[in-house]
Amino acid sequence: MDTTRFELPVQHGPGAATAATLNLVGYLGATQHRTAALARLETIARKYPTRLIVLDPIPEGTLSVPSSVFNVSSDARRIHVGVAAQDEHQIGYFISGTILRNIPTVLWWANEHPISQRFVEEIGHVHEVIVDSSMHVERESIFTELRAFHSTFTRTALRDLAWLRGHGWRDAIAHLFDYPVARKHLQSMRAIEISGGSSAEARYITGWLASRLGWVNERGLGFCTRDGRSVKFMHTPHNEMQEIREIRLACALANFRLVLDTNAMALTCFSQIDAQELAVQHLPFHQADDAELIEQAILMNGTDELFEASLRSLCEK
Amino acid sequence: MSISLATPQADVTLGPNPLREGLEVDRVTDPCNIVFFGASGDLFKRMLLPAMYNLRLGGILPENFGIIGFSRSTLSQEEFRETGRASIAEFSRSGPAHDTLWNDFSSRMSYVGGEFDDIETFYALRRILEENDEKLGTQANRLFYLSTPPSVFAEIVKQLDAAGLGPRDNTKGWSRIIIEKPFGTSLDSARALQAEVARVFDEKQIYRIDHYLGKEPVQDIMALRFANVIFEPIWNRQYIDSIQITAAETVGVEQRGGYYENSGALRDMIQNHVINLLALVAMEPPIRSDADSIRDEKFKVLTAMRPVSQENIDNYAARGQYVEGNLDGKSLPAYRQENGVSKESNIETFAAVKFFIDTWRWAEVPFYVRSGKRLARKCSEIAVTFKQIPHRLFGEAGDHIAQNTLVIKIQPEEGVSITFAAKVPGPKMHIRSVNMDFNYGSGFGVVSAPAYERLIGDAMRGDATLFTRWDAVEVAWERVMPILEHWERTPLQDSSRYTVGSQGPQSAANLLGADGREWRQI
Repeated sequence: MDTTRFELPVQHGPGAATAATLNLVGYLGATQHRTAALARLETIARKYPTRLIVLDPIPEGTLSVPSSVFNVSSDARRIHVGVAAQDEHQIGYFISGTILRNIPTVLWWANEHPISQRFVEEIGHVHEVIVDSSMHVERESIFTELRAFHSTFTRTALRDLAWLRGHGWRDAIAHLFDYPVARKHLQSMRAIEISGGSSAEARYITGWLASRLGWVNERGLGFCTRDGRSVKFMHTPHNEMQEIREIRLACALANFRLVLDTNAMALTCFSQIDAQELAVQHLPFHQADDAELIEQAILMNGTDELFEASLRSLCEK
Repeated sequence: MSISLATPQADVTLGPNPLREGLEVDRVTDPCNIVFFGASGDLFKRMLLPAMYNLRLGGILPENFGIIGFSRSTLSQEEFRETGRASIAEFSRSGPAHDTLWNDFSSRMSYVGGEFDDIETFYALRRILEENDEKLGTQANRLFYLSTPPSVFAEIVKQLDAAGLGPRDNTKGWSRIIIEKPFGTSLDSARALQAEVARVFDEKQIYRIDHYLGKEPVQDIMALRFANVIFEPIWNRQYIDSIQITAAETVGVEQRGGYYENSGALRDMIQNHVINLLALVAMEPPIRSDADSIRDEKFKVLTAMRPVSQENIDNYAARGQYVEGNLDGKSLPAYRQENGVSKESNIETFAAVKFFIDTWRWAEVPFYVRSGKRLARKCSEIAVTFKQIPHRLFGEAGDHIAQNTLVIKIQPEEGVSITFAAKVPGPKMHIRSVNMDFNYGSGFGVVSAPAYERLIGDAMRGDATLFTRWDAVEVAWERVMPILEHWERTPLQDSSRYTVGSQGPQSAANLLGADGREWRQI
C-alpha cells in the first residue's frame, strides 16, 4: 500500500491561512457506541482547528479510497476512512503519513477491543491516548491492560473517560473529610457502596481511595487497610442509570452518604458522626458529557499522577 | 455536645486531608467572608454576584463562606437575596440558579444598609462578620470589596478601621481589600487615597482591581512573549516600527454622565487599563512568574515612559468628544445631550496619546494608545507593527507588501493574528498580505471565565499578580497629569468633535499623520 497517494485537498480561498492545533484520531468500534463516538468527534472537530481522522469499521472500506474527505470548517479538515478490512499495521502506517507534524496527536480509542500497542507504535509519537473503560463491562483485565500499555508508552499520556467521570465525586468525598471532625474517622473506613455508574467508574473511586489511604489490593478480592482490616466494596449498577447516583462510606464510628439530585446539578451530603446526624450540606455538581470529558482530556497537561496512582492500586497484586 | 461539619476545629495532629492531594489546585481553601460595598449598584448585580455564584458552582469558593452586601439602599435580607437571584438569572453565564444550590448559597448572604460615614452601620457589619465566623466557620478571614463611587473609598476604609474591622484588630484571620478603579481622580487625590488606605492596610493586603487584567488574552501576552522563542528576539526597536493599543467602545456614558463629567477617557481608560496593557507589552522578562517579580518589571517600564512636557502636549496627545450620529441604524445623541452632562462640557470622550519608553529596547518606538466611546465598533487590541522590509526584492510585485503586524485581540474577539506576505498562486510573482488567525474560543474549545471571577478568586487566594501595585498607579498618574491639566485649561477645538459611529476625531488622525502613520481601522 502506498500511503503517499493520500493527499489532502486544501479547500481554502487563495491567500487564506489556516491553523491546526491538534491531530485527533478516532478509532471507532462497530457496536452501538459508534454513532455516539462519531458525533462526539465531530463536536470536538467543530470547536478546535483539528485534523480529524476517523477510522471507521462501518461501512467496510479500504485505505486506498477514503470513503469521504471533506472540510468540516475552514480550519478543520476531516478524513473518514473505512478500516474493517485492514490490519493494524496498515492503518497505523497510513495514520503516520497523514497526521500533521509538530502538533499534538491525540488518539481516542473508542472501540470495544483492547487497545493495540502495535497500532500505536506504528503511528509514531502519540501524545495522548484516550480510552473509556466503561465500554469494557465484561473485561476484568481492563485495568491490567491499561497499566501494561502505560508502562510501554511512557511518553504517551493516558486518559480514561471512566476515571474523568468520577472527578466531581472524588472532589465531594474529599470535601467531606476537609473537616477535622470527619477526618479523624477517615482511616477507619471499612465499606464503600456505590450505586449507578459503570463498574470501571465505581472501581476507580475505590482505587483512588486506596491510593490515598495506603490500602493494599488483595488479589482481586478487595482491599485491606495498613493494619490488615478488610474494606468492603459493593457496586450496584442500574441499567437505567448512566452515572453514579449515590456513594456511601462507612467508617467505624461515622457514616457518610452522597446523593446526586434528580437534575444531576447538586450533591446532597449526609453525615453521621458518633451517632449524631449533622447538618445536611449541598455541593454544586457538574456531570460533564463525553465530548466535554474528551476536551478536558485534550486540554490536560502532562501526566495525571492521581489517575496513574489509582490505576496502580487497582492492579497491584 | 452537638457537633457540626460547618465549624471545622483546628486539630494539627490530624494533618492535611490526604484525599485533597492531587485534586483541583484552584480550590480556595481559606474560609472567608466577602463584604461588597456598593451592593445595590450595577457592578454588583451584573458582575460581582454572578461571579461569586459561578465561583461556587466551579468549586472555587470554600464551603465556609459568607457574602455581605453593604450599601446606602434600604433593603430587607429577603429583598437582597431576591434581587440577587434575579441578577444571577439575568447576568450569570450559568443561567438561572438551581433551587437547591441557590438555597444553600443565599443562606450565606446578608445585607447591611446605611451610610458609609455612619459608624453604627459598620458596627452592625462587624456583628454579622463575627456571627458568620461562629455560624459559618469563616475563621475571621475578611475580604472587603469597594465597588462604590471612588469618592467614598477613603471614608469606608476609615470607618472599617474605626469599627475595629481593620487588619490590626483582626489577629485571628487575614484581611484584604479590593479597590475598584479609578484609584483617585488625579495624582494628588490618588496619593491622598493611598495615604488613607495605607494607614489601615499594608500594600500586600491591597488589591487594586483593573478587570482588563483578568481577561484571558491579556494574561496571554506574557505567554506569547515569554513562552515562545520566535517573538522575543524581534521584540525591540530593531524590528518594531510602532505599537498601537486601542480600547474602543460603542457605548456612550449610559447612566454615568455625572461620573463621567469628572472623569473622561484619559482618566477612565488610559491611566489604568491601557497603561497596564502597555506595561505588559513593553516590560522586560521577569525573573519569576510571581506577583512581585512581574509587578517589579511593570513598574520599571512605566518609570521609563517619557514624561510629556506642557509645551509639547498637542504633539503627543489628542482628545475628542462625540456629537450626534448613527450607530447600528440608531440615531444617538451628542455627549453634551446625555443625562447628567453639562451643555458646555469640556470632557473628552476620546483620548489618544503617543508615549515613548526611554530604554535600550524601545528607544524612539512610538506607542500610540487611544480609547473612546461611541466609536464605530467595540474593539480592544494591541497591534505590533514591524518595520518595512529592508530591500524590495520583488520590484513592483512587492509594492503591496504591508508591514508585518501581530495583533493581540482582547475583545470582543479573543486571540492573536499575524499578517505576513505570501505569493498569490499562479505563474506571475504577485505578492499579497495574508492573515493568520488564532482564536481562543475555537483554538482551545473553551470559553474564558469572566475576568471578575478570575480576579476575585485570585484575591481570595492571596495572589496579587493581576492587581496593580501602588508604585505603578502613581507613575501612571504622573505621566497623564500634564495632559489632563492642559486639557482642563484649554477648551475643546472643533477638530476634536467626532460623529457617533466614526473612527474618532481628526485631531487623533493628525497625531499619527504627523509621523507618517495611520491608526488601524476600528
